[in-house]
Amino acid sequence: MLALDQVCKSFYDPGRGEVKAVDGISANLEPGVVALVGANGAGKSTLLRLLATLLVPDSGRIVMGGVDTRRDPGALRARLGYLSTTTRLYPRFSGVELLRYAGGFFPLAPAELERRITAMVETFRLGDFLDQRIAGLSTGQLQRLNLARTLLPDPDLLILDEPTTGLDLPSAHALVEAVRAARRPGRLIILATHLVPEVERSADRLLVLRRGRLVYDGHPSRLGSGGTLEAAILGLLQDSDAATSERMVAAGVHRAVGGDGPEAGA
Amino acid sequence: MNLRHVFHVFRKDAVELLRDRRTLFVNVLLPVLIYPLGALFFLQVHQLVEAQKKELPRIAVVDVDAAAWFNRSAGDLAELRIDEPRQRALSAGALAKPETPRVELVVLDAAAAAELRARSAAAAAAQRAGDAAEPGPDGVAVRRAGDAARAALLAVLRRLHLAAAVVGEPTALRSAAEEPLRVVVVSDDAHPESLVMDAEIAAALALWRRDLQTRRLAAAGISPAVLRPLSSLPVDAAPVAESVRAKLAGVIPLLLVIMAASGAFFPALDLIAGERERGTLETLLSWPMGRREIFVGKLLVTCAAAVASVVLTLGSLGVTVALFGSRFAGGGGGEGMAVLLSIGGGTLALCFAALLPLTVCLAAVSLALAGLANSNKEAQNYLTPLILVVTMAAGVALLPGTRPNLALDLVPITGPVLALKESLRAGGVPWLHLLLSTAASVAVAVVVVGWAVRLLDSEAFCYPGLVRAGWGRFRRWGTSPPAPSGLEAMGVYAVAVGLFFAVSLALDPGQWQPSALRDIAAVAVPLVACLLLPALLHAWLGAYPLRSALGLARPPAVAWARAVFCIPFALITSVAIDALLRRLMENTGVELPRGLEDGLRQTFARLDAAGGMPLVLVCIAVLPGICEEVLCRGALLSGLRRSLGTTTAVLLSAFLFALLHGSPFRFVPQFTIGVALAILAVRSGSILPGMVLHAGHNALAVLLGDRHLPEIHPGLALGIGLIGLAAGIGLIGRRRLPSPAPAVDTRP
Repeated sequence: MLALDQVCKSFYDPGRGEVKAVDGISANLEPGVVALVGANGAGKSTLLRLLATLLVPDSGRIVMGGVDTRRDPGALRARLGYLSTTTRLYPRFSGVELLRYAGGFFPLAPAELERRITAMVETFRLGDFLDQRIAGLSTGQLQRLNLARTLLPDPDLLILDEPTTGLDLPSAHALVEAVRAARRPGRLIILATHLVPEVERSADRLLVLRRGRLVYDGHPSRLGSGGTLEAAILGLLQDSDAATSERMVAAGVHRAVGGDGPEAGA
Repeated sequence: MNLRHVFHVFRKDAVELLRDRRTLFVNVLLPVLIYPLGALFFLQVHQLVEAQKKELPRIAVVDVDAAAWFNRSAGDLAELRIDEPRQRALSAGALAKPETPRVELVVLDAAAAAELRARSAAAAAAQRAGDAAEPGPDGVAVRRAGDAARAALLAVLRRLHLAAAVVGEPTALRSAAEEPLRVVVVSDDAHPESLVMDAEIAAALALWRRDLQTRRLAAAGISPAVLRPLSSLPVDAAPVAESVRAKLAGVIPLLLVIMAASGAFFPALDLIAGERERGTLETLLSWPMGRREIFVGKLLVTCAAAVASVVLTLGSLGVTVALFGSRFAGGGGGEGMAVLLSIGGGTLALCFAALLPLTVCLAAVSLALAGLANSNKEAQNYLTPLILVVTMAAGVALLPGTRPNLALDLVPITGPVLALKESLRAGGVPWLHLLLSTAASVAVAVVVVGWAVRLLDSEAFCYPGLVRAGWGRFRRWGTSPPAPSGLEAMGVYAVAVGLFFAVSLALDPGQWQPSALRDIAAVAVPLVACLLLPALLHAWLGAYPLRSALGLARPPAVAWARAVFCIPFALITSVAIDALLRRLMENTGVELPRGLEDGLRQTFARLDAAGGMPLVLVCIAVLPGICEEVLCRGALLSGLRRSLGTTTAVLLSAFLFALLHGSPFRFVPQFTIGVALAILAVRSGSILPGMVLHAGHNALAVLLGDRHLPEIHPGLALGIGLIGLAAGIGLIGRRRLPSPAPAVDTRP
């Protein structure tokens, strides 16, 4: 469904010089839940922005449904729901106005749009604050509304970049449940998260990023087979490259890409 | 372009703007309230000032029977106005309210009258003496005596609380009855009501003069009509409204343009910089629509806000004139309204039609500039100068006599404003100028929209925090920028050279008293402050690596030797070219320019006198060697290489290096040496050997001076010099300055 072929992205940092935030990542992602894990500055957000066509790869290709996203970013965006810690909502709008505005960019008939808005209001319990200005909403309410906004067009590709950041425990739990409920046939959900239990429970596939490189690509259970998944991921994120390779060979991992690179981050 | 998406963005942004209190205040409330509130304020101030005017200027009339001619009725003054136009202007102030007294006539007691008479006679005598005095010490003494007499008179006036006095001179001064009656008009010109007082005195004297004339003529049995062989009556054929409109023709378009620019100011801030600041830009860009649709949607909102602001301002102005005009101009409010009405619907429609492309252009520029900023505050810093530029460009219409022409039509703001001015002034429509200027505005708008869409396309637009601050904001992601672009380097060069010539002129030793320090400053300050510092400052602001951006790297050891080797050959080359050019000019009869050469000799002489040969070498060899190399082979060459490639960059940098010396006669030798220095910098990967060569060349020229050198044919000398130079710079190792990567277009 979504294929990455040697995707690279660098940027210039005055302190560090040229930084390879994403360094030659290749993967073929099929519908299901793909968890993306990595330390801060590993390149997760840059990779997700590349997938969302907000950034353009320096080299390599990203192909969605047979269409190169560099050639036709609009085709991907028409099937995309993108939510990150930096996607904010219009503070002068009310919740319902925002949902109508967001839905207006997708080819939905007015009646269908209203039906979906009603469904989103029920799913995410937005009714209490739907007519309030967004500027006055709490962080949890905002994130629920933001997720509703993301799911409104029923996207085939759902990219969630650390959606639980800043949420209290119940809100984070509710949001994770909502993401799990968003699974459907033909939908690829890419979830960047630090919540390892959630990865273990929901993800069909785990990608571990270190310094812009993919150091693990496979089912979470395979990585955690020798112990806890959290310990295994921690080991991957802290190991030297040689140790990483050995560990992955020992675990019989699906696929691994190693090698040292400059400090990455975005 | 998907128009549905454009409209969707337009509607959303319009709603957002209408819910923003700040924009509402600036674009709606302020235009609506500013004129009525301003009028009310001025009315209050006017009334307060009127209330203060209870003390009329006091005027004393001494020894003449002139008191009756003050505070005369409007009828008397009207007769005066027709026949004596000059007096009309003087008494204009007095005509405003002829029914009320304008001055207070004072009767002085005998002692005060005597004192005033004496002082005014002394002052009048001193003034006559001063007028007649020849220039020179005697004249100065006479004028000083006059000043003293006037000061004494003024002291008397102020002690008596008088603003002015009309004092008759003794009749003894008249040799015959036909001699004019002589009066001295003394006045305190520093009095707050001096204008009214002057006008009143002038009108009174004119009426009195007329009366005396009539009496004398009657006594002689002559009809007063004899002295009026010509009577003129000014009749203004044009309606007052039209006449005023023609006078306001330059002001109206200027105001409209400023209103449009101000109207676009806050929407532009809010819609781009504000959206980024609120963090909604990433959300917007993740939705399935093109960047062009986003920009056009926002552009339409900005234009609508600007037009609304203009309409509201005009409406407010009209209402204010209708409500308060009569209060200001004593019944002139109807006239003011007539002026507004006389503009007419058709002309107003034309104004809007002509201003619309200009508004689009202004809105596009405002939005694009705001797009460069990370925050509202930064965007304000970019947009405020825009308002100033717009005001200046439109202010051309205020200059008397400016009319549209084909060249001015192409100037974006000036062209439409002048076309509108002409249309308002003449009543007709200057179609050619209007179309041309509109086309120019549309062209600018299209270019700016194209640029702005590219701006939105760039990743740095959405994620400015990921792109470094300072000059780095203009860079793209992907490749490390080792040097500025060619355009940026040219900008640095332009600033440096502009400063260099300005400071050199300001410090020209010819303008100052001779001083060793000033002589040194005249040479050193332009070099260090204007050539070296801008290049260093630019590299620092952009945080460019000094190695690649300025070529300040350690060269291979052999490069030093090669640079030293090249020094004599460089001098031979430049001297030979110089000699060849002299021969050529002598053969063709062209006179050699001597001014610069003489100036250089004088500089040598002054520096030599100030500090001897070491100082000359530092100022003429070392400093230019460092400063000119950092600018021309450092900033300029590295930037030009990045954009234009090595060969073009070497030639262009040498050309600009030669231009820097400001001498057409020295251009060819400087260009040749510039090429050699640029190649040396490229081949050695550093500008340091070039500094040695440059400084060595200059030092050798200074040391050899006018010494008699072996006679050799300049052509042969040139050959030797060029071969030596080529050998020196060409045989230096293969190490090169890493070629700065060209800007990579990462757009899809």
